[in-house]
Amino acid sequence: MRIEVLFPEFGNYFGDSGNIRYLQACAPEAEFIITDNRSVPCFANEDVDMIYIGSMSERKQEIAVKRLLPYKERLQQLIEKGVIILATGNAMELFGECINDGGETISMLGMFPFHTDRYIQEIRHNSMFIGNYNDIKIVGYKSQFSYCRGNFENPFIQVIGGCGNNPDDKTEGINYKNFFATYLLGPLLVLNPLFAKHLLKLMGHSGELAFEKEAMAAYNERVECLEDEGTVFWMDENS
Amino acid sequence: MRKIRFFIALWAGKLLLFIWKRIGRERDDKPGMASMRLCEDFLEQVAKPKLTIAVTGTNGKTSISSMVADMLRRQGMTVSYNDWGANHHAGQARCILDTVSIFNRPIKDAAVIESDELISPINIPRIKPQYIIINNVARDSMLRNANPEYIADRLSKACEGSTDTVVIINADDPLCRFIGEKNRKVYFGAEDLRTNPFENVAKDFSVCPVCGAHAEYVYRNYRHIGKFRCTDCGLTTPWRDYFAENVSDDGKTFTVNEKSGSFTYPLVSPAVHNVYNVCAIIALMRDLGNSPEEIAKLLEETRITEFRETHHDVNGLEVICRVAKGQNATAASTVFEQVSKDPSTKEVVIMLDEMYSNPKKQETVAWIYDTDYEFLNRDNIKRIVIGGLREKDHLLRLLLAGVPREKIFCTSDVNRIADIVSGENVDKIYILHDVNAVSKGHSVRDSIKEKLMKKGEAVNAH
Repeated sequence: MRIEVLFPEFGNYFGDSGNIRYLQACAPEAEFIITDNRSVPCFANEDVDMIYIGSMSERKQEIAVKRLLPYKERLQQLIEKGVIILATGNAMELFGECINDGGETISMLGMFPFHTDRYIQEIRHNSMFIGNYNDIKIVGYKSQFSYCRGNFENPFIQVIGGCGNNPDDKTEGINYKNFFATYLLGPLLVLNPLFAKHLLKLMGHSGELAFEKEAMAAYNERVECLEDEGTVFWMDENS
Repeated sequence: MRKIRFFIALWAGKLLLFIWKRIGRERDDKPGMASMRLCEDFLEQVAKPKLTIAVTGTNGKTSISSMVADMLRRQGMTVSYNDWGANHHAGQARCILDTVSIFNRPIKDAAVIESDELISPINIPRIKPQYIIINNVARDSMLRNANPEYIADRLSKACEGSTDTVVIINADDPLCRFIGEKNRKVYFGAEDLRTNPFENVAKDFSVCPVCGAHAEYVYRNYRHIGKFRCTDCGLTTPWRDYFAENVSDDGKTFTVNEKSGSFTYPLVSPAVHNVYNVCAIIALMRDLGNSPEEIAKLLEETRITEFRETHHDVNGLEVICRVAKGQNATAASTVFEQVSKDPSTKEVVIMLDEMYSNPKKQETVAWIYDTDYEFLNRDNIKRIVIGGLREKDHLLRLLLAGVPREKIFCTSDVNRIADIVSGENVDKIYILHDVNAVSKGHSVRDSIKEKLMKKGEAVNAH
């Protein structure tokens, strides 16, 4: 099993490294390839089973797109081939058409038909989230300056509580074949052990997760809380 | 009309301030809030004292501003300072309200304004201070501060809106590199202090802000603070106008090298971040025209208010209660590193949740994966007690950090922590609590002390 982590030197703003830490604990035999933004990605010339990219600053999104643009076709091939790609937080925006920031338009990879509207001068959106991916409940957090809008014909998650791709959308993220992109940021796989198990199974890894009992206990408690009618999804700065 | 509105706001604020002082609530920012609500550009229109100093950045604001205010007062100046932690709009307005008469004429010599970094682009251009001290920019609560680059951009805008302000800035913080490009800048920094900082899981500075190449440290003093250089484009730490070096072995003095020579000063506290804090203050005081001897004398009498840490001895066991800041990976990791580097055997209590009472309300735990729980995986940390509603998340994080399961004890009820703490076979008990849970932290500390004292009495009775 080969898992490539793209640009972890800056794609790790909100605890996203927890995803790789958890995969390493679950599948210690797997090979983890760390690719910094100045190196040729391993996926460009070799086969990998999974590519991960996490949240980054707004400025670093531009660097990331510049680095990935030469490999756009290869990424498309890999998606069609069924390679797992997981993008968390604003890394999802890289795969859309563009980011509109005030009067400026910043081109993105253009692999999926959506665009991003960034509102960096306004209040930051912070919220809790729960939704359904097939029969798996997905929980998580959002903390962002932007919303995605466009054609989400392959949504990742159906929203139960919280905000979707934008306040008017009841779906969250994109799931096409084994490509998963979501605004949910940080340690998504730690928070969602069932989804982590699903991804590992897609890569041919079966068996127990690392600290499965403890991870499931935290997950079940969070699901229970977020399904409760009285739950407040909006988080202010003091939660 | 604008003037009339301003004077109504000023008088309303002054009247409230008078009443608040009479009823013993002078550390309340409501008078400032009233003035700001009545007149949106109150901060712009209100007269400022001859000397106005803003202190901002992520960490060290309170320490620096309190020391500066204290030193100016001991120089005989009348100083207004928002020392009650109200560093937002209202607190700053309240601070300045105290410096003017009802005719909007300055009645104090100086204002020292601790300014929240997020709101700095709004307030700094209105206040237009003579000086702004920026000590560092680091990862903080993502809910509020997003990411350090965003905060650095906010500070850049703040300085752009007040180009006559002298910017006193940490040259050793690469994230501050391009703040204040249109201002006169005074850089401070420090030599390699040989602190052997641990590697952090989350790095605030890892690539060159100009070319994106790997940025190397010539040396690093703590977190991302140190001397750096880009291997590709050559961007490097700028020349330090005030350069801290030669910290004495006992940590009581250090030397600051500047263009007119090298001078020795008291260090106030030997902590590495304090070297930077004091160096920033020296840079300010020197720029104001004070002699090194005068500054040294003032620093000699300066004390840091250690409200964030208490020490108690109970039957030979030291109980330390310390603020560690939840939701803030930088602050929590720094405290974990300090605890880890303490060679004593210890038991560590962690209560870093923001919510203790409302299970209907969740809070993000993403920050714990940016925080170095690995630092707590040490042989001399005998037990770790987690208290709070997010106990299961902290437990999982500690397990992923390699801490053996048998060392970890959890309770969702912080009132039960004292029952779980053992205090056996250790020299110290550390209680690390969130900044918003100071009284809860102290109450847990007192319960632990009580339990230990009873235990001691029982042993003595035998």
